[in-house]
Amino acid sequence: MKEKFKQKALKYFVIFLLVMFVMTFISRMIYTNNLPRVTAARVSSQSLSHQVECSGTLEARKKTPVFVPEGIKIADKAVKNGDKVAKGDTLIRLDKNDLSEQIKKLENEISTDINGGSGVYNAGSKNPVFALSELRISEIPVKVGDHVECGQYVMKLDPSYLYDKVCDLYNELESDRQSYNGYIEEGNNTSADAMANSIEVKERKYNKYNALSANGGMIYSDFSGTVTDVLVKTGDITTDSAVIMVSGDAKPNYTFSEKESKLEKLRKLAEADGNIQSPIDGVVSDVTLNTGNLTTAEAVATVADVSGGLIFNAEITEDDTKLISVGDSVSVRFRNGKKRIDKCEITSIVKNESGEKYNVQIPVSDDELTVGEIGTLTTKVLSGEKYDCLPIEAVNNASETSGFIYIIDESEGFLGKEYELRKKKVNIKEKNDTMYGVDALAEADDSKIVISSSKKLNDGQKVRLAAEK
Amino acid sequence: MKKIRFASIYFLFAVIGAVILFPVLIAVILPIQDSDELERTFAPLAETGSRYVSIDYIPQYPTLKNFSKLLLYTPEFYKVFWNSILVVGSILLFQLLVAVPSAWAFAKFRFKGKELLFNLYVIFMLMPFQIMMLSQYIVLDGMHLMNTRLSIILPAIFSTFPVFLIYRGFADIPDDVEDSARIDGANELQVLLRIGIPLGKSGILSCLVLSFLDLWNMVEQPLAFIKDKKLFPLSLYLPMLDIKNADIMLTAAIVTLIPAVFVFIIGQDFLEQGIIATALKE
Repeated sequence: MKEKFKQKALKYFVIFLLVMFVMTFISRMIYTNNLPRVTAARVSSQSLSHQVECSGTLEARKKTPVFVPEGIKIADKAVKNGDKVAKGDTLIRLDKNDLSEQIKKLENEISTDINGGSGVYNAGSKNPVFALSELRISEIPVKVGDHVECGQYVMKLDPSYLYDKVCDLYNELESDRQSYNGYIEEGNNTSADAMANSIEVKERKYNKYNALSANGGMIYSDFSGTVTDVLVKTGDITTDSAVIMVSGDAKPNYTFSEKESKLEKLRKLAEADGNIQSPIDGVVSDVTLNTGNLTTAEAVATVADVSGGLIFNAEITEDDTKLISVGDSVSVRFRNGKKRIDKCEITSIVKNESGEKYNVQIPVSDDELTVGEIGTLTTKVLSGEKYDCLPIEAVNNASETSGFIYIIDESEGFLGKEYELRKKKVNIKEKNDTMYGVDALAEADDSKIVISSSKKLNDGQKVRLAAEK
Repeated sequence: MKKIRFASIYFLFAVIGAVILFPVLIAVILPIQDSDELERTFAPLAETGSRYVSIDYIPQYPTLKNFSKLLLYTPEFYKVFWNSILVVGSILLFQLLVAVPSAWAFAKFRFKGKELLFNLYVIFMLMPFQIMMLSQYIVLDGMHLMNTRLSIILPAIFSTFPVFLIYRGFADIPDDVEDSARIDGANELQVLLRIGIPLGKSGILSCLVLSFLDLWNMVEQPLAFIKDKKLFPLSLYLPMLDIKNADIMLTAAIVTLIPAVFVFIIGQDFLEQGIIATALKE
């Protein structure tokens, strides 16, 4: 009996040892699974490097804007931004018909003025803006009280409706022309004459509709001033009446001498077949108007004179101005970094018009580069003081001035090397995009800090060290 | 009258038994208390007040959570457990290899200075570890064995106590039995293996049981010679746990007890025989 009991005890003892053996592995697996896996980095004492990087464009030192009298329709653009032009090359072609009409109109006005006119054009009065009749309005971008410039787009007509009208007119014209030919063949001259007049009227109308259709159904203001009345609404069908009333500016639009001067300019343009020519050798920039647009008081184009050298213009933030200043040498990269120009000196840093950013100007001399190329300014600036530098991801709950980090304390434990976390507050002195510069941590040179973890961490927690960066 | 005397003696022994068993009872009750309850129980130990620990002998919320915490979430316990098994197992194995031939020689051979040598053995057996510690330390350090398992195993292998214990078992074997074996052509090793060990089994096994119980609980040697926690045995692990880990400590104590209990149950008879033999014959 006693022997059996002993044998059982021996059996259970062996089972106990086997269970303990199996549990050894299971507990290790659970322990491994529960431990946060952290990556660590070493603290380095160094100056903090700040990188300033901003994009900008190359511009010429000297620019010549090209002005044209307002309100003339553009027939064609001969150049685009970045094109090299010689003096006298055509930049933009104006609509000759429109130009000649403008000249006639101006000549009439001047003759009226000479015959006792006031010398004031539409001063303070309401000027109507007309649209072609029988068309549907799809958009009115202005409202009463808005200020509009001469040539500014004030209304859009439904393009599909307009297209239908053009087609209808075309069909009518074709039908009329056949009738006309029929009358001629019949020798019915009276009817043929009447039909010819009708065709002429319809052709004029067709041409106007067609031109409007080519222009996308856009209606432009013929006057500068304030919108006083919007007489239609979206969806309405236009009539012969005005659609919008624009009050003339309080000041005279043009004095007599101004009209004469404008007439002079228009005549010169007419002599040049409406071609606006480049005043200098250079590179075209700022061509914003498109075919069909009316010229405005703004320059129609700018020709950059590259002979005087190029200037790289970039915008930087207020923080960046603390890092770079006039006289600093920087690098500028162009063409996706393929072209790099080092040791460029900053000649000016000026607050821009918005007041939020600063314009930096850097003269660049390189034969390959042209106006309008986009580049990137890069420079590295080291902090004056040395700090204990920590990766940004290592600092938790970081405010402008403080945060906390987890330092990994290494010790020999029962299972070998064990890593335990110690929470420590840090005072942030400076930072860049990747690092914080903090007050001296007073830790050993080889101390490690946590930069990422697979789980939420706590002070005193044991962790598994995955890698060291 | 006689009945009353017997009853009073039984009662007295029952009371003494209860007092002896009381710590064991507490050791069994406390690990099944909830960790919050344990915290409350041991709060006076953590405070510097005049309060004493009071134990609820029937736990308010009995649970086996502490066991699962120890057995599933405390891998270091297994590390120290197997350290103990490795150290104790190695010592017992090599102790027998050294002690059995020594004891056989003392019991069965006559040689010059035998008495003196045996007396020296007895004197060494009586010496506590504290006396030997420094000399052992110097020797182990000279052999560059400090902070290794060998620093505990090697001195224990050459312990004199097993020789003394096994000696008594061998001394009981009549010389005629060995002589008859020798007449049958057995050499001295065969006599030891075929006659000595089987007949002196009780002494050897009682030595094994006693040594196991002693070595399983040894504290001083590992404390003096081992610094690396990786090499700590169970006997050092338990004292290292503080009051914050009372749940682990109490549960680990129970699990630590299990191998000793098994060994005691298995070797109880041999232990009794060995002790009786030692007590009667010398």
